[in-house]
Amino acid sequence: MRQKILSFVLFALGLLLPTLSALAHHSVLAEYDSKHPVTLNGVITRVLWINPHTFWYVDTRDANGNVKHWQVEGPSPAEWHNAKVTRDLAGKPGDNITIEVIVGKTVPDRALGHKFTFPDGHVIQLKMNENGETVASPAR
Amino acid sequence: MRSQAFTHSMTLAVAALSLLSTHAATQQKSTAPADMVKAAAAKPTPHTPNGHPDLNGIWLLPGIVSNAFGYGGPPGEVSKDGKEHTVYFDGRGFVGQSPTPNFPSYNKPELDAKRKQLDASANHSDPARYSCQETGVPRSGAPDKIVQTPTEVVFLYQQTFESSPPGSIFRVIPTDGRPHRTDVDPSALGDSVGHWEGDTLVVDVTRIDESTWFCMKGCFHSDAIHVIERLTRKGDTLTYQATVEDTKLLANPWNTYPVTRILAGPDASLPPDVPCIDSDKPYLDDSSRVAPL
Repeated sequence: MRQKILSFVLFALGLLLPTLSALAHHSVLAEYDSKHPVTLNGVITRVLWINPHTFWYVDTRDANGNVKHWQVEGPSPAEWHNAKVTRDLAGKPGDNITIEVIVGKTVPDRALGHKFTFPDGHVIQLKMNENGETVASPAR
Repeated sequence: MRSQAFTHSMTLAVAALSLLSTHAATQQKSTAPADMVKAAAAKPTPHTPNGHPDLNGIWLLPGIVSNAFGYGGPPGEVSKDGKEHTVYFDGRGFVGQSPTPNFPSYNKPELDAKRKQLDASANHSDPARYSCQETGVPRSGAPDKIVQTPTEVVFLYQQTFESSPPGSIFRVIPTDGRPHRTDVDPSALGDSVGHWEGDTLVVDVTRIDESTWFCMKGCFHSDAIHVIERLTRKGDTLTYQATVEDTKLLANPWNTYPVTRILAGPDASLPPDVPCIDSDKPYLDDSSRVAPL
């Protein structure tokens, strides 16, 4: 009986892939340029705490004062919950925010956010590793 | 009780995280999931008064630590000062994966080729990826919570992973011997009837909508699809396995690998529901698009 359980364990999980996850989702790295990470410093104009992805709409300004509107996606609320992140930790319109992102390959105002830093110093972040490829942070 | 469970969870989280950390001094294969399953399976199997296994409860994937919400998910961590919250996500699979690929065999080579192409272009071609469409049966896998009465079993699903159903979904499965309904439209979840075989609930599913995939790797099917799910309780574990038949398209029935979940503690609850809004697709990169056949 224990042998049987062990074989279950050995074979388990492999391929009911959807239940497993989260793994599946992350052909997300195919959509973004993970080789050139960028840091956004701007102001939140909107937060969407929804499935399948959370979103932050952020306005940044370049050196000339021109505004750029970004749409930054994050993991689902359920995934955030696993690090005890509820939407009250996600910021709100008008807040300053710093986000480390990787930018969309063909949609340059769209990015995947992986580290979100708020004015009071709290951080919410996703450390992701897909097929051996990690989401890089900009050089410090 | 809650704080004990939390401390325990954090200990397990740290253990699980050692798998993920590229800075780990000693790279050790974590046995935490296997140990958890083994310990849970060794417990006695409760039965209801009519002799069937009691499937009531919230069921967590092993190796996935229970978070402070009492619910399972990929490991997450909060720093000691409470200021840094980190979600860990390892695309290679921290709970272990099948050592060999497991794909269905279609009855014509061009159909196998089609599946591969759908898989390659999944970001665009998968009906349930980056969208709010249901993953359906059997792709949604085992339910997160089961409620069982003498005449029916109710499966409750919540959005826990990207590929789970987009939000709160439930299935009512009669176990009173009634036949399949024939007066309902096909749907992602299909029509289910169940019966007991020892400690296994066997669910027969028909009328699954043709637009779904029965696996996330491009598994398209016809209206002839027929799914048999088996849920077996052993101690405090629940093992889910499904067999997919499609006499029009598949060369032979396809079996999913068994997936075992563990009964959650009494503090557990399902995560709250959030709205699902389709907003990803217009922004998906074109470079992963593959030309259709």
